[in-house]
Amino acid sequence: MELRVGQTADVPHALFQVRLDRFETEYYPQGGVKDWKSTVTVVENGAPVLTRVVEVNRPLTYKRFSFYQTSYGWDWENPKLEIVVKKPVDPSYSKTLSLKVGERLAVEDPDFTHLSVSRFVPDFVIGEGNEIQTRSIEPNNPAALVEVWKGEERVYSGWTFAKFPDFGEGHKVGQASLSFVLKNYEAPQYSVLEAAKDPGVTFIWLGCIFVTAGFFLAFYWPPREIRVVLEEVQGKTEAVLGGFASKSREAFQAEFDMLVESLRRTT
Amino acid sequence: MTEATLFTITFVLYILSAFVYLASLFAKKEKWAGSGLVLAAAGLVVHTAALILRTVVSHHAPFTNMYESLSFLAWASVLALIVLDRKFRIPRVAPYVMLIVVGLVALASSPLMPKEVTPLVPALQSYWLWLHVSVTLLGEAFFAVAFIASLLYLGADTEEKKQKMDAVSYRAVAVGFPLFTLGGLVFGMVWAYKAWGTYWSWDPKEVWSLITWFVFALYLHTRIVMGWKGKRSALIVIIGFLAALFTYFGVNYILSGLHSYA
Repeated sequence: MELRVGQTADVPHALFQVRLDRFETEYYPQGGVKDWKSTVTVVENGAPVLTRVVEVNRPLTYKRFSFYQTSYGWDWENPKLEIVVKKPVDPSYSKTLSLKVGERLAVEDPDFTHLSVSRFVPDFVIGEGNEIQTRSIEPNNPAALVEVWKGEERVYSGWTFAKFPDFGEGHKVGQASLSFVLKNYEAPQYSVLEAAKDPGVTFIWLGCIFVTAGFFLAFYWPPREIRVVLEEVQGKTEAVLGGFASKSREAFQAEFDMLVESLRRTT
Repeated sequence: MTEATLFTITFVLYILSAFVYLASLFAKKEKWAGSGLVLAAAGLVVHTAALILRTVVSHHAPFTNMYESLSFLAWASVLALIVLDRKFRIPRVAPYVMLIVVGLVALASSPLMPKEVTPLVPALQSYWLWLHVSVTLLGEAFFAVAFIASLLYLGADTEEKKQKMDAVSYRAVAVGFPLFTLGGLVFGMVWAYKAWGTYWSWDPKEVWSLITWFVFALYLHTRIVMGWKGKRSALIVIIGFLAALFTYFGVNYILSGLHSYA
């Protein structure tokens, strides 16, 4: 189940829903993911019944359904972007434009009338055939394809990189020179939860317990049997000893022989 | 004292132990074997200190990469050796077990194994890491002793030596098999159910653990039910240990899957 923050989704085959209230990724100071935490609320008949944080290794169980944190991602199809436009000839000029991909934003400016971002990739890479692709879903090298319009005429089209602002500097747009900075990029994060129901799992655990207990009993405490028959033969007592072991018979044999030997010595 | 210093002292003690054990075996001085055992035990104590220190520094169980798990496997093997030697007296097997231990420690300290403490990925952050890995590796350490005894069985020249090796091999498997079942399979299943939502995913490591388990189960069945002994049993143990070895190394380096952490 892919859930965005605030989204409520039906659980397949269940009579309740789950809502993702919060999702955060914690990182180690050295980098690397420390934890994913999804705050999940179970909604039944329209009313919330239970809220808990789901982490890897800490699933939420409700009415025989278990929810596991399995993956996460960003919805890079709909990022909220911020592009800053500057003019090298006029250091005091700076315009911050908030827009979405595909949106044509009207700007009051002598040099151009509209600005748009026609594409955004979180991890820019040039693939085969010079095609622009994203290497991963991680925002390692976010890039936006900025287009500038004068009326219906497109006067500029070029990639701007958040981590390499130099590329956005001093582009010739019509008669003027403009710089573009990809200042901000935000995409809704989603959490991927796995919902599982396995009614037979109790039997699996029962089986496991029996198998393990059986092994430890059989091999750490093997059954051995020694029987002694005492008989009176002509006024004397005669002892007949017999032994049985299912495992490690040689060792038992040695032990048994020692027992018989020590009995002989004492009598 | 740093972990590296303790680890080096451990290494030296294990080498000395192996040396004394081998000298006792080849010079036929049976009393020296006792000193070999004492040196191994001293190494185990220092090794334990090194593992504890690493746990304190890293804040997690000391078996999360190849260096750590090799070191722990060596530790478990020494423990298995000491337990079996104290209980059943195995002066002929012990020297070779110590050689394997020295090999494991040498491999762990080789430059191929990165030694830095790395933070744990979310999937490994669980107390099941302790239970699952330690008990499994302890079981495999007993398999290693059984493997050596089986090799020695095949190489033995007298009937008395053969019988002794056969018995040692059986005892090591009898101790190791329940541990491997509990740690490798059962604890692994419980943890997988908690972390991934399914107790069995046919991941390469799971499959190979199961193969290992089947081979040793075959050993025990043929022995206890059908009365197999000697050469056939020794060969099954050797195959079983090779399967365990592949589960341990092969799956980490050749096949990738859910267990690819190292």
